[in-house]
Amino acid sequence: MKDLKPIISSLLRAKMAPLLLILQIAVTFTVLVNSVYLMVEKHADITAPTGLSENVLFSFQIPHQGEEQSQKIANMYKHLEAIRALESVERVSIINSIPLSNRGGGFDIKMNPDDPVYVSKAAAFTGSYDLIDTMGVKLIAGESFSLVDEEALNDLGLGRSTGVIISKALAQSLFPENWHQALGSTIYLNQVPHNIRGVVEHLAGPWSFWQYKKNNIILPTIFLMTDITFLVRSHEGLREQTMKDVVELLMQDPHLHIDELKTFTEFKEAAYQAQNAAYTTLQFVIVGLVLITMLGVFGQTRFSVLKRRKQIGTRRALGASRMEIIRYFTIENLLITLCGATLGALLTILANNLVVAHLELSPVPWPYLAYSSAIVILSGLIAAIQPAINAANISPAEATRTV
Amino acid sequence: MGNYYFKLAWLSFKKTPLLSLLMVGTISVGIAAAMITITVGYMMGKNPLPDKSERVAMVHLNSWDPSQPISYRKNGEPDIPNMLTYQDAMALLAADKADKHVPFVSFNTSVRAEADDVTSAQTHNIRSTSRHFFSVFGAPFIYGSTWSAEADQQGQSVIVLSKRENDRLFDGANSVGENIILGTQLYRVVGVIDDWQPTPKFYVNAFDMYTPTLPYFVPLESQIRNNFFSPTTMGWYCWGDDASSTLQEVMSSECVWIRFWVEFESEQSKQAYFQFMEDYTEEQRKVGRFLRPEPNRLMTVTEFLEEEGAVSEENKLGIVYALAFLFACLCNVMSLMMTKFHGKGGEVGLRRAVGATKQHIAVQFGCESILVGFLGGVIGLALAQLGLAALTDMYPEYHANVMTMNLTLMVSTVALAIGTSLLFGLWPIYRATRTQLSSQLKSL
Amino acid sequence: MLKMRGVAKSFITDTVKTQALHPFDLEIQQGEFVAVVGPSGSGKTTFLNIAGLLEEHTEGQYFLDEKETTGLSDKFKSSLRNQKIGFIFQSFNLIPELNLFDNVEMPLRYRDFSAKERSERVLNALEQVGLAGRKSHYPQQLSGGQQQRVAIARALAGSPSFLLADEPTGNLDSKMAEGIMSLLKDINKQGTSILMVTHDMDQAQQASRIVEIRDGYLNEQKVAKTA
Repeated sequence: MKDLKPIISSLLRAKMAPLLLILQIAVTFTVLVNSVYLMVEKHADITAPTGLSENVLFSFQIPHQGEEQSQKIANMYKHLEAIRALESVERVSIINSIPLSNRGGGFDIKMNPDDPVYVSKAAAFTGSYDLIDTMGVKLIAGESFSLVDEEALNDLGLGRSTGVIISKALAQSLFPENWHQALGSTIYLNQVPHNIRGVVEHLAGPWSFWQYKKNNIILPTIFLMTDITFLVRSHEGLREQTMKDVVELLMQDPHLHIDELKTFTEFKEAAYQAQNAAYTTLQFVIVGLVLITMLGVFGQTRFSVLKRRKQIGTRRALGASRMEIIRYFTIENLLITLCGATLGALLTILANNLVVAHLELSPVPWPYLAYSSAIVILSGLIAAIQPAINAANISPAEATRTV
Repeated sequence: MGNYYFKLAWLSFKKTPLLSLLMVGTISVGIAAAMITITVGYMMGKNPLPDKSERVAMVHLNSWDPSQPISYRKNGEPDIPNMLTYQDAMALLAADKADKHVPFVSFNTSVRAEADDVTSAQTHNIRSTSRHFFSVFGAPFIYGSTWSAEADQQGQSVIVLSKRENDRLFDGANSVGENIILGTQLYRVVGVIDDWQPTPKFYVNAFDMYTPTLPYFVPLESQIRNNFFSPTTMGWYCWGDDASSTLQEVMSSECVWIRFWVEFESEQSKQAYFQFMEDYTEEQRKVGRFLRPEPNRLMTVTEFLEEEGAVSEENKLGIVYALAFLFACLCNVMSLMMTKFHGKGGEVGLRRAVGATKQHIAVQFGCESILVGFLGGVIGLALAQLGLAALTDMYPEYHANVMTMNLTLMVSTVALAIGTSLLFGLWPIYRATRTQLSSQLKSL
Repeated sequence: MLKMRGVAKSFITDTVKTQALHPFDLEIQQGEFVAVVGPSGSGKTTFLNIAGLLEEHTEGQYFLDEKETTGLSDKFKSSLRNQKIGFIFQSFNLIPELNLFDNVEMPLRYRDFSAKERSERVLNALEQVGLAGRKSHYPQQLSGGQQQRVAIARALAGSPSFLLADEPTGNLDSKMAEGIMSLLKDINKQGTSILMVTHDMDQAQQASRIVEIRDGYLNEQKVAKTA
């Protein structure tokens, strides 16, 4: 620490150059903190479990056939059974909308019909009774639907007393202290009471960007719309084959056209495209920030070595070891980086307050300040190595040379 | 004289190639980052209807649930729906108080040319609207024209399609008079519009503003007549106990699902129209509707874009951070310039000795900063183009228009680079002019 | 032509006052060749800097061509240096990235000459030092003696009243040094005054006058004129 005093006094004398670097590091630090935070958030988004057996699912649509309702339903079940009978198909269900497909519908959830405002919101998936098994979502409490609960209707069948199955996230938002209480409780969808009969662990909603995307409800009503959407579960590793088999089967009917034939993986990729892109962009941003910081430290250290060649030579002539010279410049640079990071932390807090006040975005949690400090200090140290070694290599003879 | 200084700047640039490239590289990276975010923000925030954005307005009627508002605005105040119920939309159309009315919704169905096989059908989103959609929002026709007023009233099965779909179905030929099958209904083509992408697509909600325009357009009344109903894509909001499982139920319910735009010849008639909306509301109150206190809104294009936040908060934040990054880069460049000019102390001393004034030195180094800024700007511009191209690939849900620089932005890029490089060069230049004359002459 | 009356220079650092040059009088007439000698640290460089208007004296008056220079603005002094004085340095001080023509032209750039006149003056000056044929060469392509000739051409190009030479042969071997000295004498014969700092007494002997500076005191040495 005996170096500290001369370092500080020489920094104070040089003023402008170190000050610039401190300012640069501070600003970079602020951007870095936010980028790292955003990146970690996006990463959590992308890797959040959907709850579905992503690799064996695919879906498609066909139009209803027949004039009368009963005829339509009969045809629908005929197709369903035909698909189910295929050897490569493990399970098949009819569903109103596919998770992460950007299409779907939702409800305001109330715990009491007279409440003026809703407790939460949730999207609804409705279809065959065995939807949960086809999706592969894990039931962690209560019971699943059975065949008797299934009915094909022109609406969501909210008036029926089959009960609903909800996602754990929804249960948690309804009963924050203990989500297990949700089981057996009553919730109101459009003022109609529904008994919660089961809870599933994870289930992704229709919209990846929706605030309530983890809140989902499952109902056993086949909602008759213009098209029928099938969700097919193939045997492990046979999805391609199963898709071919299903298409071949349906194409036997020349009046049928298949639409939106997509794997669940495709839906997921499309849904998270923006987040994925943002994640990639942020990685570039962080690399850029680190490079700029390193460049700044490198330049500054080199400059200060350059200006002090004679001084360094004199020190060497007077008996300073190479290690001592390296230490001197490392400490000098560390000091600058620390000042930069500290100022940057202050800036970040300031920016945080502004962001929260004006942009309605969430503030950056504290640990990210520590992560970013570590990144900045480490990159600073690495960048200072070469110029510091360079300085240590200055010959003691430099002292006697005229400058 | 300028020539001479730029020649000197170029020679000096070549003399220390590493330092020069570092300066140019640093500026260009900062400029590229800043200009990419600025481009996206600028293009997103652009006025899509500059000649009449104050004469085209969206009708928001507060027909919502008396017990709770539809949602809350960012400032915490209760919001009102930005779509209308069917009955209100029809009432406004019937009153005919604006010069042009554009109600619209969308639905989803299979589409194929009559001559094509059923298996070639594709599902598409269909814009269901009035004949004025094209003239109010500025969509240009290449074949035919919009449908007639009778088609609107009677719900005739007529259709306008995009150039792209016309290329796909009819190989780009004039398809007016041809037939297209929507679901099971036969529609006759009356017009084909050219490639058309207002940026932002101001007439829908923010999340939809940068997506491609829809490829098919039919009269709203024809959707109703032919009972096209696609619950998961139509997008409606309901309250109360009304059933909403069929199109008929939705039409007679208090559900809101129709966006409604109007165009006026003059801004005065806009005032009158708002008065009309108020009168209409007052009348409806007598039959027990419109019981919420929040006022109706007649929002012009600019007001609506502002309200919806066409430029997202994250985008604004991105611009701020990119500018901060540019600032950091410029601090770095300033440092490098100090190193560079410090190294030229001997030359400065010599030039001062043989008669250069401080101003001469300042101009010489100023030119050097400008040269660095210019090169940084040009390379930054190229980097920004690459970055925007990469973004276009990565964000296909945004139309490429948002990721494209116009000439103004390109010139601004280079100007910004030169300006900032000169600005951040001021201190190093000042320091250089203050070089001690006599002390520098022994060593060069 | 150059007249100094009671000129002196002192530095005040912290609390110590250092007298670098004690007050002296000096007058140099048109066409003279004056050598300034003295041991290092005696104040030679300070004297030269004051004479060359690179440094401000702290006392006395300094007239250049009858013009009082004390307290003139930086801009004015720059233009005086440009028009009245030609500098020649021990280490030549040529700009490596400029060719000979551009190096010689440099001082002319700070004056309102037309491109044609600049070019004529550069070529004349290079002619005078015998390097007209190499105007497109770069300094590092030349020997030390040739480089100093270029520096002399640069000093001559603006037709100054006098040349200020600071150890002009200090970095040269004796053969080259001899060549430079004879060139300087030629130039002097054509009417340009020269003020030359040197520590080489042989060279000093070739001047028409010798001034000695020792411990900050300036004394005229009466020397027997050789040649």
